[in-house]
Amino acid sequence: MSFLTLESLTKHYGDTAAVKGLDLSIEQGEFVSLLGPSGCGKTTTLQMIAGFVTPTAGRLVMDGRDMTDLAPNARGFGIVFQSYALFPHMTISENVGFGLEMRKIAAHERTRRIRQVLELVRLDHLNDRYPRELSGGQRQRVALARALVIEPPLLLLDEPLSNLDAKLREDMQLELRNIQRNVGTTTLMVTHDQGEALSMSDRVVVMDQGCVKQIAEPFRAYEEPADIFVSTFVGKTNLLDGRMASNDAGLPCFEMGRQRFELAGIGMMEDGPVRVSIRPERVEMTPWQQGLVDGRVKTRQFAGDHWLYQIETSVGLLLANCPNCGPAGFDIGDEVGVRWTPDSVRLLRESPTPAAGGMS
Amino acid sequence: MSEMTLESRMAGRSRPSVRSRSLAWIPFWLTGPAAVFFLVLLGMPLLMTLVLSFYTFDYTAGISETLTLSNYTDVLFDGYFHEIFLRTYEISLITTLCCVVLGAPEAYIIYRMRRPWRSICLLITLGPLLISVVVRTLGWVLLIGGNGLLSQFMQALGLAGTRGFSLMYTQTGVVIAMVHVLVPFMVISVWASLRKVDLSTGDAALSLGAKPFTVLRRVIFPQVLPGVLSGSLIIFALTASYFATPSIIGGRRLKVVATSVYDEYLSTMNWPLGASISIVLLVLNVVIVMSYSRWVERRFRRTLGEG
Amino acid sequence: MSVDSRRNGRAALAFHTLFMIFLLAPLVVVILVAFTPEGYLSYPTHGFSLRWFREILARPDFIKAFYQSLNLGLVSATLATVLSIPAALALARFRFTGREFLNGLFLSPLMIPHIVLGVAFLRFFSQIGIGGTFASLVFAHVVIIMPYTLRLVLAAVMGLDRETERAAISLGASPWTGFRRITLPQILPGVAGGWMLAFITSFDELTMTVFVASPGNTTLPVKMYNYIEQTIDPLLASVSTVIIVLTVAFMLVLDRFYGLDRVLSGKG
Repeated sequence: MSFLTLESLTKHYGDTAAVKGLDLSIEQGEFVSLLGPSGCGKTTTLQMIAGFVTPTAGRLVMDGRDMTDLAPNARGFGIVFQSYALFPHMTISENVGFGLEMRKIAAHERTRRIRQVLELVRLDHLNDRYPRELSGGQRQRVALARALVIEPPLLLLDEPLSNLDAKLREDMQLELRNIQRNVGTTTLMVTHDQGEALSMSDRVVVMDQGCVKQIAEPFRAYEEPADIFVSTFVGKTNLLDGRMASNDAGLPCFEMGRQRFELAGIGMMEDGPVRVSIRPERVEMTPWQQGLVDGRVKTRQFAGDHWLYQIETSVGLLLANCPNCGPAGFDIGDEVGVRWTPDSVRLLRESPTPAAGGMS
Repeated sequence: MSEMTLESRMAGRSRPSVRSRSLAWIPFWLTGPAAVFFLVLLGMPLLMTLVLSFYTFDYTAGISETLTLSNYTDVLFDGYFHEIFLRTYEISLITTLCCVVLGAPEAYIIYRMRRPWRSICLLITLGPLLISVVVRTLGWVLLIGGNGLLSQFMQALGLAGTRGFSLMYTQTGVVIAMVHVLVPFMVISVWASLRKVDLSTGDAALSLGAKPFTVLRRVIFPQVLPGVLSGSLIIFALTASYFATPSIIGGRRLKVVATSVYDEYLSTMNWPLGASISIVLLVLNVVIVMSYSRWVERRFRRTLGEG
Repeated sequence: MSVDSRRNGRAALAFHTLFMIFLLAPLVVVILVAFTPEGYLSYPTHGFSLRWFREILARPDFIKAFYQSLNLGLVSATLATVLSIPAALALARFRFTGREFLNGLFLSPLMIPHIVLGVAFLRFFSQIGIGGTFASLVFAHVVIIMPYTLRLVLAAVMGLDRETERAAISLGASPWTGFRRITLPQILPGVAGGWMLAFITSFDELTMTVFVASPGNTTLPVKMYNYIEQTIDPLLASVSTVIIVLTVAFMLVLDRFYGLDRVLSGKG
């Protein structure tokens, strides 16, 4: 049986539904991310788990115990807030010790545990400072320490890294995940940053408009997006609209205009309109007339580790991502060919319309 | 400021260009009118009052320009004035405390309201500040006076005798009316502090196991403390020199510093004594305001970075 | 998004209700008494009457005092604003010798008790021979209300993106045109808010004005105060009701226009 279970958790604000019947099970020690654009209901979900927002319907069960109606201060979850919510009038030690104090832990034991957790986040030298006197990254780690010191069964992270600049964010992703692995605390993170969700989580829950679109391991969510929303929100992609058809050998293929493309790993399907996704890094550029389709380079962007091309082709504008192995192979205006392997093409389903209406 | 120092400063500089020289004069042209206005209309009257406070007064001969310290020795060492000053500051202190107890929670409650209640309640709370003090005090006279609503209410409850019940000319009456007049200042002041508070600190404390009251006491209140303290300062300083309310409700029987200044000037006509009371009041006010704000500033520099 | 943990509890709402009653009770009582049909202070238990409002019309001294207060408020608020704008620009945009001193000087009336200012003005104006004139009232009122106009104008100038004026000048505008066409329109809300706060402060001022006013030049608050010293009758309530109604109307305009909490935080 899973450690934490959300059973059709729902929240309505007046007529608008923020979260529509969310089901999720999390195993002990797992790191799960709620990923989605702003307004998708991920933060409301976190607030309901934390107890700050009362669900309109549904249950929250942890370790066999129903926690749906438990007051937030009785849940004992560790929470890292987006703003960090450090107490500005208390020192770092006092901030970290607050939860222990609330648990009436003796002073010497408190001091020991504060020191231990501050060592864990490498801030033990700053224990007498006030939050204002720390940098953003340091505040972030204090917030984490404050949440971890109470040894919570569940750690909730609300956009924990969104207030950090890009470089620091990458470092903190690694550090946060390492700390979580060491401590082994079951963790649920809310984020709108797909890169962050993919790199840190054991599983990703992609949400849109209050509904779960896909729950999968990061690699699967990226490689096998459940629907169009997931394929575009998680990573960049090329979407092509066409029809299902069968080729001369009677195998299923994708038809666009007069061109047909092979597909792999797909059983027989009815003919009809479909949409497929091809990731830019699966699109390979070739000399003219040596690919599946021909086109002309429209733009070229250098992104450090790769080049990003936009190519105008007969099947539409395609993005191609080529690793940076020396100077760019193609220039703007070049006539090029483009190809991909059959197994790079993902067939997409339309987003299933949720049973409950009232899409906002 | 003196224009001499500026002139010499400018002259001392090595060959200022014509342009920078004319630019340097701009702020003086801009502030000039207001500065002259204030130096004449604020500086002169205060200076003249300071001089006046050293003049001699005689009930038959009136004011004479013989300098004396007797006005100050009267104010500083006479038991009569001690009583008045003590009463004034006692009223100020009680009023301030009441404003903290009522205004600070109210500001928090309104802050947590949703639209449109939030702005409506704020309007009701702050609005009275714009209504004439005489009108508001009159309201309290009608409420707490001999035949007032409070008296009728207490009689109906059988808590007051048939003769009725009045808070007029009592310290309690003055304090109630003063709290009413001044409590909006506390609400504004705490409100301004609350706007800088991250309310998720309250959620953080809850998540760490604190009870709602502990959250208020340990997390929210310390963060709005600067607002409470600066509101207290405004209220204390204003009550210490308040005139209208103590005069109408306290009357002659419950003299405070402001009303005794009024009486010295307009009934007894002993202007030099009135002037010296005013100067003492002014000095006390300035000293209290200055030292208090310095203390507050030092207290919060590290944590909240404001006074 | 609303968070349930931040809602007010039942005890808080009960406290709030009592607080609102406390705030409104005296004003409601004044308005009620104003409608009494009796010749003495009482609540209109036997029907409402407008007799005490008609009585105001029979008191030219009250009407004159009202117009005096209105004139005084208009003139002194305008004068204070006119003095404040250049001063605020200088204080906000230049670093010059005496800047701190001037800032302190302009705000100092906030720290000086009005009673002290009152006696100081009484002495000063009678010594220079303008005691009791309308001009002396204007001078005295400008001194006490200028801190408010200055603060709000200063806040507006400080909150202004100075680049906009520089952009205008880079496009060929003269500094004066830059100020008139770019800066002034942007600080106008602050200027107007300051003017209104100054006006209402002047209109309500009693403590200082008691000393400066003369029987020929008196303001409404002084007139009412002197009347209360003699007797309290329903006429005061009806005059007060008129003031309350006018002030509330003024306040709603001010709130629409500028935001009451923003204006009044300049009052503290």
